[in-house]
Amino acid sequence: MKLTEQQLLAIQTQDQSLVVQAGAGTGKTTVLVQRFVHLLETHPEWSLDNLYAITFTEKAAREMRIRLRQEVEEKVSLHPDVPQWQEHRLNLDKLNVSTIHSLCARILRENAIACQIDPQFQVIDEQEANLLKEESIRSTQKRTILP
Amino acid sequence: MTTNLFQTRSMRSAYNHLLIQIEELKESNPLYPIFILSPSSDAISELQTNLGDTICISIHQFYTLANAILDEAAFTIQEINDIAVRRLIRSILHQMQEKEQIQVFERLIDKPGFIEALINWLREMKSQGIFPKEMQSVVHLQGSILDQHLADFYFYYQEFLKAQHYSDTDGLLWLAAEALEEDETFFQQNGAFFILGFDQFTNVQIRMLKQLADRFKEANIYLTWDANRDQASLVLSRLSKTRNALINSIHMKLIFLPDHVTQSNHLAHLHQHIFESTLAEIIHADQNQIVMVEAPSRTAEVRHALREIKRLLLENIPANKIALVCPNKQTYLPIVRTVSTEFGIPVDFEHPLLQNPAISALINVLKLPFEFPWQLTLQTLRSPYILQPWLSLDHINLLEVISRDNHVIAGIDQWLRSLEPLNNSIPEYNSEDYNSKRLVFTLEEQTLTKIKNGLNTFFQHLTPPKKASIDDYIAWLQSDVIGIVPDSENEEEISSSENSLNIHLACQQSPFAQRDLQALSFFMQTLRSLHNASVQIPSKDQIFWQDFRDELISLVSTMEIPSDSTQNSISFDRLEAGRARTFDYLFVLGLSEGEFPSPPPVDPFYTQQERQDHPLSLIKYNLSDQVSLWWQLIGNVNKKLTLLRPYLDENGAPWQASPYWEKVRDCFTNLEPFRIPIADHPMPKDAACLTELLTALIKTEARTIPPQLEKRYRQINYAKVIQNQRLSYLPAGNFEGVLGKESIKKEIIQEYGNNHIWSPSQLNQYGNCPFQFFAQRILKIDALKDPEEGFDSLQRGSLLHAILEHVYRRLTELDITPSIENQNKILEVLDSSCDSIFFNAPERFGFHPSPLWKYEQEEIRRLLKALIQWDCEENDKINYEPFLQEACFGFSSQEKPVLVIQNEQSHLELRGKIDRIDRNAKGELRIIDYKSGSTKYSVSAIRQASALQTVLYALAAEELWLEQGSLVKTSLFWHIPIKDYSGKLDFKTTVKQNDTVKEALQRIFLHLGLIQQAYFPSKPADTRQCRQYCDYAALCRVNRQSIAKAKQGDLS
Repeated sequence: MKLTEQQLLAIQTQDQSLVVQAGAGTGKTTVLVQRFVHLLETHPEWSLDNLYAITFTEKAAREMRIRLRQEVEEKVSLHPDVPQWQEHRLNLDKLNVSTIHSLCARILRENAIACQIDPQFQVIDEQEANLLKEESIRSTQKRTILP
Repeated sequence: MTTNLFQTRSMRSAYNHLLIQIEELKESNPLYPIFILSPSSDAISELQTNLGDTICISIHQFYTLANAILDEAAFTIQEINDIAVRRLIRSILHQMQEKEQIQVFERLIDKPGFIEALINWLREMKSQGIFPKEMQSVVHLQGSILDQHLADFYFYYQEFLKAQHYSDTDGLLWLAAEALEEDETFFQQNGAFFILGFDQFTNVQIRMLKQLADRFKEANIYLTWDANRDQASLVLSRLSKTRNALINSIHMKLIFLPDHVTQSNHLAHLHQHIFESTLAEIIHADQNQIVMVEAPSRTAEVRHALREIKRLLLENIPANKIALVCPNKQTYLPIVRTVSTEFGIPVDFEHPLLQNPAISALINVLKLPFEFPWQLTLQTLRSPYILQPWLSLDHINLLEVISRDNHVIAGIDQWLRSLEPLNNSIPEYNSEDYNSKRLVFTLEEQTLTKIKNGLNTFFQHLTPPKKASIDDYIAWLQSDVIGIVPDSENEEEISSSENSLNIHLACQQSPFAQRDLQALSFFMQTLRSLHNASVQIPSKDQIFWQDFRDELISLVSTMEIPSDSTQNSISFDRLEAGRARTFDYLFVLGLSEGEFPSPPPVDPFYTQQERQDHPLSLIKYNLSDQVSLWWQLIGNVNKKLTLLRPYLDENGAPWQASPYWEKVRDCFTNLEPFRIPIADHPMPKDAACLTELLTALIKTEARTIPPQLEKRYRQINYAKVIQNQRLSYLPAGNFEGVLGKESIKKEIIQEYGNNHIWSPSQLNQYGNCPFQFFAQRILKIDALKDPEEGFDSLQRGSLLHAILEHVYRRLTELDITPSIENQNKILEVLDSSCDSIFFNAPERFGFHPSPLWKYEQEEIRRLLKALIQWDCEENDKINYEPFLQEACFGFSSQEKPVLVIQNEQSHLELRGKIDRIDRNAKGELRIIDYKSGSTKYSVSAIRQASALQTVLYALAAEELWLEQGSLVKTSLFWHIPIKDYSGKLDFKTTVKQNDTVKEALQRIFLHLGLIQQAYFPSKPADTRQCRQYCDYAALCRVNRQSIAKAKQGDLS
C-alpha cells in the first residue's frame, strides 16, 4: 500500500509527541504499525519490549499484534543478515501491545514493590466488586456506628 | 566412563534408542543397574509403561535423585515442607521489620503474592548456586536497596535452615551437587545413566550431571535437535543454549541419532519445515493426519475435541495414546471436567479438595465458631456428613422454621432466645390476610427444651478455645469434629462417638465412601503438614482460633486430589508437559492470538535490563521457550494432530488465530480449518452422550428410535409440544395456569366459592396477575427469605402505618384538626408517637435492628414530619377532621360485619381494614389508604380491578360508618414518601353510582367467575415485562405471547 505524504510524516516524525487524527478506515492503524517498525529500524539498540502500544479494545490489540508480527517477520526475510531483526523475531512474544487496562495492570505488577501492593493482585469482576462493597458497608457500619 | 549427548529429532527417537539400549544391556546382564532421569511424573509413568517389568531400573526426577544421593552420603538433613517455608519467610520478614531492615517492602510482608514471589526468588538463587554471602557482598557494594534487603533476607533464611539442619526442596539439589563434588569416590554406580525429556538445566542441575556422568560406566543425555536446521534457527533457540551449557561443562561425545520414522509423513513434514523463513517445500495436507478446528467458544472447542476422543476410544485406541493439551490449564479445566463427565470419558485431572462434599461440610464447621451464622448452622446440621447426636432431623426442621420466624441472624444468644416463647412476640403487619401463628407458640415446652438443650450442646461442642496451640486445635478437630482418635486413623472400624460430629464415620457410610475417605485422608495430610511445620518453625506458643482456621482453609483451598492412577485415562495437561511425552493422537486447545504464544510472566523484582546489568548472573528459568516448545510438541505426535481454537472471544468479537496456527497452515497447500457454526448441534451419528443424542433425534425428527430411548424420546417430544404451545398465540393452556380437571375446579370452588370472605389485596392480586394468585393462594407457595438485619419493606410499611395511626388517633382524642395553625402541636404529637412506636418496634414488627436503626428512626421522623406539614396545608382548604383509624370490618373480633356486595347473579363477601376515615362538618367522609411506596395508581388500574382499596373501602364506609343523609365524598391513596395522592375517586351521589366503581365491580365479578373456572394465566404488565422483581418469576413463563393470551381471557 502506498502511503500518503501525511502518513509518511506521521510515521517518520520522531523526538516529539504526536496526535494523529483521521476518520475511520483511513489507515490510522497502518500508520501506528509503520511508526512502530520505523522506530525499531532507526534505533537498532532498542529491544522490542522498549515500545508500548495501547488500544481501546482487546480485539484491536490482537489485530495490531498480528500486523506487527507480520511486519517483523517480513523484515527478517528481507534482511536475513541484520541481527537486530533476528533478535526482534526471537522476542515477538514480548510485544507490548495491549489495552490500557492490561498495560496498567502490567505496570503495577512490574512495580509492585515500589507501589507496595501484592504482586499477584487480581482484578475483581463487577459482581465480586458489588459483594465487596456491601460487605464493606456492613463492616463499616458495625465499626463506626455501633457503640 | 563415557558420556554421550544423543541429539534426536524427537522424543520418539530418543525413546526408541533408550529402549533398545536398555534391552541390549539387560540381555547380557538382567541385573545391570540402570538409572533414568526424567523431568516429570507423567513422563516417568510413560517410561514405566514402556519398560514393563524390567528389573534393576531406578527412574528419578532431580529431587528424588538428590534425596538418594544425600541418603547415601548419610546427610542428617531434614526437608521442610511448603507450609514451613512460608511460615519461616513470614517469621524472618517480621523479625527484619522489627529491626527496621526492610523498608522497601515493609508493607508487603503479609501479602500472599509477595511471599510467593520471594519463594520463586529463593528458588532462582538456589538453582543458580548463588550463596547468601556472595549475594550480600556483591549487592552491598553495588546493588540497589531492594537487592540489599533481598540479600539480607536470603542470609537469615539460609542461616536458620543451616542451624536447624533443614533444607528446602531446591536446597537439596544444591547439597547433593556439593556432596558429589566433595568426594569423588562417593555414589559410584556400576551401571548406566540415561537422561531424557529435558530441554534446559539449571546451573546446579548441570553441576550434578557433571559429577554423576563420571560415576557411571556410561551416561547418555538425550536432547531434541535438528541437525538440518541452522543453529540460530528459531526452533532451536532454547535447545541451543542448553546444548552449549552441556558441552561447556561436561566432556561428552556428540552423536546425531538417525530418525526412525514412525511419525506419519505429513506430521514429519510439518516438524521438518515449520518456522523455516523460506519454506523449502509445501505439500498437500492429509486430513487424517492434521486437522484444524475453529469453534465459536472454548466450550464448543472442548466438546468437539472430547467428541473425537470418544470416537477414538470406541475404536479401541488405548487412552494412554491420546492426550489433550492447552496453553492455560486453569481456563480449560472446568470445561474439560464438565464435558468429560457428560460424555463419560476418563480424563486425568485433579479435583479440588474443597469440591468434595465431606470436606466442604468440614470447612463449614470451621466457619461456625463463634458467631454461628443462621444459614451455615442449618446447613451444617442438615449435612449428611455431620452425624451429630444432639438434634434429630425433626428438631432441625422445627428449628429452621422457628429461627426464620424470629429472624435469627447469628450469635448463640439470638438462637437460644428464638426458642423461648416469652421472648417472642407476634409481629404486626398491616395486612388483612395475616393470621398465621408462630410455630414457637404451638410447640410443647418439652419439645422446645429438647431443641434448646441439643442446640446449646452443639454450640458448646463446636466452640474451640479462643487461643490455643496449633497441636491443640489439630487434636480438637481430629477427635471432636472428624471423629478420629489419634492412632486409630488406619483402623477399619471406627464407632460413632458421643462427643464428635463423626465426619469420618459419615464418610465410611457414604454411598461414595472411597471418594470421601480419600478426600478426608488428604485433609488429614494437611493437618499433619501443619503440625510438622509448627514443629519445624516454632512460633508463638498459642495462636488465635481465627488465625489457625484461616491458614487451614487457605491450605485446603489450594489442595487437589489427583485422579485415580489405576484407571486408564486421557492425559490432560499444559502444553509444556508434552515436551517429554509421545502421543499417537494429540489434541491442542486454545490456539488463538494472545493465548499461545503468550507474553512471559511479569517479574516483580527485576526488569530484563536490570537482570542483564546485575553484577551476579541472574537467569530466569521459564517453563519453556514457546517456539521451541511448539516444535518439540509437533515432533512428539505419531499419528494425528488436531489443533483447535475459539474464533470468537467472550464478548463475541472475532478472535484471530495464533501465529503458530498460521505457521502450521503455511506448510500445506490445502489445510483449511473446519469451522463449527454458532449454536451448532451434532447430528445423531456424532452425539457423544444421551442428551446430545436425544436432542439430535428430536431436531432431525427421527422416525426410528432405539427401544431403550423410546420413553425419553416421547417425554422430550411432549415437552416440545408444551413449549411450542407456550410460544404460540393460541389461548393459554393447561401448562400456563389454565387448569382443566374438574376435580381441581371443585376444590377451588370449595375454597374460593361464594362463601369465601375476600380481602381487597386478594382481589388486587388476581387483577394484577392471575398466575401469581394461583402460585400463592392455590399452590400456597411462599418465598422464604433468609433473615437479615434491619427491616424489610413490609415491616417498614407497618411501622409507618402504626405511627400515623397513633398520631391521628391522638388528634381525634385531643380534638385537633390538621391545619397550618395547629401544625406545631401536631408535630409534637408526631414526636411523642414516634417515641412510643420506636420504643418496642423491633419486637412488635419482628426485625433485628441494624446498626443504622438510630438513623432510620430519624429518617422516618423527617419523612412523616414533611407529610404532616403537607396534610396541614392541604386540609386548610377542605377542613376534614380525623374520624377513625384502622377501621376494621368483617373480622370475627370486630363489631362491624362483613360487607356484602351483590350483583345480578352473584355476591361478594368482603373484609378489610381502612387505614383512616376523615369527616368534615357536613358529616361527609374521606377515605384514605396509606401507601409506603411512591408508585401511583391510575383510575384505569382501579377499573382493571388491580388497585381496589379506594373502591371497596368507600363502599364499606358508606355501608358501615356513614350517617344518614350524608355521603362518602372522596376515596384516595396517600403516598407517604412523595406527599401526594393517587387513584382519587370523588363521589357526587352514592359510591355505587360512580362509573369507575361500577366498572371495577363488574370486573371483580368477572374475575371471581374466572377464579372459579380455575383460570390463572400469567398477565404481564407490559410488553414481555412484569414487575422488576416477582417472587414467582421462576414458576411462570412470561413471553411476548402472554399478553395476547391474557387478552383472549378478557384479562387485559
